[in-house]
This record gives sequence, structure tokens and C-alpha cells, in this order.
Amino acid sequence: MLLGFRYLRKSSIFTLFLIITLISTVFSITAFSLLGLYNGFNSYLGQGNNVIAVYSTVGSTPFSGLVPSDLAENISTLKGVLACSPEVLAPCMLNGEAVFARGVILEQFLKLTPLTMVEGNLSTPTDLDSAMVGKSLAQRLNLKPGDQILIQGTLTERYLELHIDGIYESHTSMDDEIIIPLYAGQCLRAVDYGQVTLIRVEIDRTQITPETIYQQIAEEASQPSQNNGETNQNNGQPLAQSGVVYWPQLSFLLKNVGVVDAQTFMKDYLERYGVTVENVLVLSAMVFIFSSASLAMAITTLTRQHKREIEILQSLGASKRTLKTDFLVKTLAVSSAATACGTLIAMLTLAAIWTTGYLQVLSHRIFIQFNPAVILLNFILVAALVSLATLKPTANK
Amino acid sequence: MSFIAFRMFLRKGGTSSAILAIALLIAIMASANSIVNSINSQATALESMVDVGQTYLVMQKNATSVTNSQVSPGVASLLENMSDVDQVLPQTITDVTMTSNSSNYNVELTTVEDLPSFFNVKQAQMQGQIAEPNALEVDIGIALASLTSTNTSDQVTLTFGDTSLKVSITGVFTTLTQSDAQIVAPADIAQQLTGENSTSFVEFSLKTDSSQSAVSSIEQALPTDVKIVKVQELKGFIQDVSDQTLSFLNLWSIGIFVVIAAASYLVATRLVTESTYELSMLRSLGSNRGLLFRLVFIYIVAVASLGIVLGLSIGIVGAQAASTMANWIQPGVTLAPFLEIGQAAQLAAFTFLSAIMGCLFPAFKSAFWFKTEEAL
Repeated sequence: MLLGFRYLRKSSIFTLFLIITLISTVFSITAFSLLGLYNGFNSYLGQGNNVIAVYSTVGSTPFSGLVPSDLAENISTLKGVLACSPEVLAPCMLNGEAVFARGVILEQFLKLTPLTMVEGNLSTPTDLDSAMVGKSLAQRLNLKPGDQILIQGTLTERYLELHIDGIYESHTSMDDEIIIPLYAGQCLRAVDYGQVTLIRVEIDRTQITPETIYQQIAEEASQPSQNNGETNQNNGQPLAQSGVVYWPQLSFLLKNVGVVDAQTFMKDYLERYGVTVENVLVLSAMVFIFSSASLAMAITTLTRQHKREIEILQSLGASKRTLKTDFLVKTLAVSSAATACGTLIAMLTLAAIWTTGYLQVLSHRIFIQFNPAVILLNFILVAALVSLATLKPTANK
Repeated sequence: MSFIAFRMFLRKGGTSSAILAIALLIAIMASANSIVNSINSQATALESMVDVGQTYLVMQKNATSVTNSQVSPGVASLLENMSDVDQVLPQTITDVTMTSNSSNYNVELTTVEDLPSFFNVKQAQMQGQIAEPNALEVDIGIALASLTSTNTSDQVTLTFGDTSLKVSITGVFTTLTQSDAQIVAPADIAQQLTGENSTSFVEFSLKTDSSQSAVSSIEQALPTDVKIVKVQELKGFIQDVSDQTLSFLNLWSIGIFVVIAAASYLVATRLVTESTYELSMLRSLGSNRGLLFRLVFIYIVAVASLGIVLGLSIGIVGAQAASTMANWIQPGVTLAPFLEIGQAAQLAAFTFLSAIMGCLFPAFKSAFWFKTEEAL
């Protein structure tokens, strides 16, 4: 049963509204940005179901593992392999800022990750001193086609002087990277031409499976190396048109090489450090719960501020149960509106910050994704807490 | 009287929940900061484990790249005479067109005075011979050789403007540097092509026993129109990545401080609401309005102080406990959360500021708009 009396003062309701709005904003900002970070890294290597990654199982991060580059040569010849892109990820410094450079064989890379050129042109595979810069990075460092750039190494004493051919957009985390020839990436990563960070492979699953590719790798691993692990230029197979020097054959242990779906690859790495969707949501909920004492205090204050009105209503015959129900309905209505408002403020704030490129982790901009589960969780948490604070015995004393 | 009144306020039922509310908000920030500190300290530790090189480039001050840089040839001589400097390699970069097998390629020609030293510093693997000066000989990098299908004993034509030069390739080298995509030749080749004797930049390395401060003294000894650029910038990279995480954390903290200000407003409002009788009594006993304002203000400062101490403790201990548990569940995850004194002081200062901002309006209201007669 609801009471028709409007006994809650507007100024008091506004305080409650403000508190819930602020808490919802903080919760939403935490959850949206952490989930954005998680999803951004998950889709880092491509979102297609048919993209798999050949990677090093002993690397502690997705950037630090190394696999033999000549595996790419053998995998690319298998039936059902649509594209095979050996890539090297190298941390470096450009114009005083930390960035990641990605050494690739351009034709293979473009088959897996189509780029839209927003300025300038695609690099030609025969140009060994060219680079393409992601739109977001170009904006941040004010780079444009035709510029000469000096890239400083971080892992080794090496530097590169390249000219920018074009600015690309991929709508992924790669918009914060520099695409450079494979040999240049290997130079910055301080590895020889026989190693790459990973090999991305697009497959036709009706013709080939990741297991078949793993078998191929196992066969190669079982063959004794002709040069006992030493780089031997004479054994290399020149792939000059790809901008690759040669594929020196290196011996390797099969257990050190893995083949998984590209998304699983990143997911496994994140899980290794305890980063899962569930943990991200729990962490955000913890922020909410730690703020909940303020919310409970707001409800109690609201009750105390209306003690006199509640006592009058009781003297007029309203039961405690009726009063509690009425109070709950009124506060729930206010809290729902405040939650919606808080979520909206969080979305607008994050959208505004995103356009400035301010939010970055590991030099990659966080892609904010407005997940409905976060919004729903926010409403549930607020409703549960408001109900608990309203219905607890001390609240209506 | 004010001391008794203050004690009276502190003994109110809502004080403990008010302290807890502020403490929990501070705990969120303390734990987040301590975890980020732990991650950043691991990155910094990595820096000390990696052997960072001592190679530097001397470039023209306003040049953004080595190609468009030009330094005086005297710079190399100056460096050679300095006690902290080990190897000095003055280099000239020229963009030329290489014609091989009827195909043209735009390539970079690096010319140096002392080719054996150059290849020695670059730890080059050479197939063939190092090019001799004044013999129209060049060496070619493995990447460029593969691309242009050239090898030792081949002859190629180098063109700069209207000047062409037919040269022999005497060696194909691998250095695992950008030189692998270039032609490297003795200095006379560039002079014959361009007619100039210029230096683009000077690469030098410090002696192993030299300190970092040596770079500053070298910089002071060099002409003012040049700058020194460190080749390996691991420290800068780690610093920049750490700053990115801290920027995110700072932005997020602003939201929490706003919640603290709102919580402080609530605490003060609740105090005034629940202490109507006490405030009226104090006014009746002769307290002026300033005293009432000060009482509410000091109450909030006291609550915030206790909240800060409790919050910092909960935050750090909580983060440490959580990381220990995470390590039990996932043995690879090793974090040692900590908070620096400066950070704790900063958190405390901002919390005070937020709490004071939040309580000003209720404190002012209690002192100046409070109706004693109505309350009594």
C-alpha cells in the first residue's frame, strides 16, 4: 500500500540522488574502462574465428615470446591456409613517447588486417625504410606522411630512421602502433632474422584445423637442424619481394610452440595474470561495495531528516510496514533515476576522454565498450543496497 | 565549552559509520595506488636487470632525423679527444638511386671514413671483402642485397642528381641493424657523388667505466648547434608506460574524491540533523555562531583524520592480502603492493580538502540559519 503524501523534502531527495549518481558514475567508469581494456587486448590479434596464432608458450607476455620465422614459410604452403603473417612486436621510443612498432610482411599482414588509409599511401613492400603510422598515434605525435622519424630501441642499442608513407585506421588497438618492415622490427626487438614474436594465420576451417598446423610444426621440430641452431644464411630461402631477408633454419623444442585461436591466445595470457571478465566485474563491484557505506549513510540521513513526518504519519494510523514499503518505493524510484544519470555521466565522460586519447595502457588507447551487463549490474547493486538500507530495523526507528 | 560540545558530537551514534564511510573510500584509492606501485616497481626493476648501452648520436639541434641533420666535421675530432669517449663514427647519409639489373631502387648510402671500425662496432658478419677507399667499391646490406638480387662482384650504378657512379660490390654484410637495408661505402664515394664533404651525424659510445654525468660534460664541450640523443631509451619507455597507468588512476581518483566530498556533506548534514537539541542548547548558553561553525568543521576534520588512518591501513593491508591470495591461487602472479609516504600524504591532503569542501555548506547552515526556538 502506498501513501499519497509527498512528505520527502526535495533538498533531502536531491542529496540521495547526488550520492547515488556519483557512486554509479565511479562504478561505471571503473567497469567500462577495465572491460574496454580487457576486450581491447582480446581482439588485439584479430577478431575473426578463423585467425589462429602460432606463439611461444614460454613467453611471459604476448610481446616477449619468440618462434622460428621459417615456420611461416612451411605453414603458408599448407592447403587451407589463406594468409600467414609472421610479426615482430617491439617496444620503442618515438619523439620521446613510448610506442610499439610491429614488423610485418605487408602483403600477408593486410590479408589478415585490412587497413584504411586516411592520409598518404600504403608502403610498397620493396621500400625497406618506410613506415605506416596508426591514426591515433599520428594525432598524438603530430605525424604526417613524408615525415622522417627516428625510432630509438628500448631492448637493444639500435635505432631506425624511417619515412612515413601513410596514416592508417584499423579501428583496433593497432591504431596506436607503427607498421614497419619485418627486418626493421627484428632489429628493434633485438632478434636475428630467424625469429619472430608470433605468426598469425588465417585458415579455411573446412580444409584445415589448428591441430593439422600443429602436426606440421611437430614434424618440423622432429627434423634435426642442419646448422645446430646457428643462423645460417646459406640455408635461407630468399623472400625478397616480401621485404624479408631470408628464413634461417633454427632448431626448436615443440613444447615451446603453441597453436591456438588468436582470441584464446590473448585470453590465456590475461587469465595467467588473473584478468577475466568475471574478475573485472567483481573488482568494479568491490568499488561499489566500498562506496556503499556512503549510500547507506545517505538513506539513514534521509530517514532521520523526515523523522517528524514519519511520526505524524504513524500517529495518523500508518503501519510500520506501510511506511517502509512507501519509503522503499520512493527511494527506489529516485535511486533508479540516479543510477541512469550516473551511467550516462560515465559514458559521456569516457567518450570525451577517449577522443583526447588520454586513457592509455601500454601505449595503446583503451577502447571503451558500453557493456549492457555493467549497466544491469549497476541497477541491481543500487536497488539491493537501497532496499537493504531502507528495510534494516534501525533505519525506521 | 567547545571541548565538551566536541566530545558530545564525537559520541554520537553516527560517528563510527561516518568514519567507516570515508575510510572505505580512501581504502579503494590506497589499494589501487599500492598495486600500481607494485607493477611499476617491477618494470623499474626490469630496467636495472637489462644492460642498457652507452651509445649516443650527435645530431644537428633542430633536426628530427639523421637524414636531414648536418654537423660540423670538427665535432668528431672534439669527441675523439675526450677521455670518456670510446668509439667515434662520423657518418654521412645520402639518398641515392641504385640501378641494378635494369631496375632502379631508392636507397640510403652511408659513407664513413673508417669502414673496418664501422663494421667492427656493428659486429657485422661479412661475406666478401670490406670496400677499399678510392677504388669505387661498396658493401651492401643483406636486406638490400636480397631485395635487389645483388651479390658480391656485381656492379651497380649509384645516381645522385645528375652524377652517376659505377661501383663494385665487394661484400654483403649482416649487422641486424638498419644498415642491412643500406649501401655502406668509404667517404670518397659520397664526395664524388655530391661534391661535398659533410657529416650527417656522429655516433659515439662511452667507455665502460664512464658515468652518466659524462654525457652532460660532453654536451657542454660540443658546439651549441648540436644535440645528443641516446640510442637505447629503456628508462624513458618504462617511465612513459608507468605515467600512462598513473594518469588513468589519477583520473579515476577524481571521481572518488568527489564521492568523499559528498560523503562529508552527508556526515555534516546528519550531525546537524541529529544534534538539533545540542546545537540549540549551545546557542542558549551563549555560544556565538562562529563556535557552532567551528564545531561542525572540526568534527568533520576529526572524522576525516580517523577515516584517513583507517582507510590507508585497510587499503594497504587489503591489497597485500589480496595479492597473497592471488599468488596462492595463481602462482605466477607475484605482487607486493606498497604505498610511498609521499603518496599517502597526497591522498590524505586531497581527502582533507574534499571533506572540508563537502562540510562547508552544512556547517555554515548550522551556524547561521539554525532556528533555536524551533528546535527547543
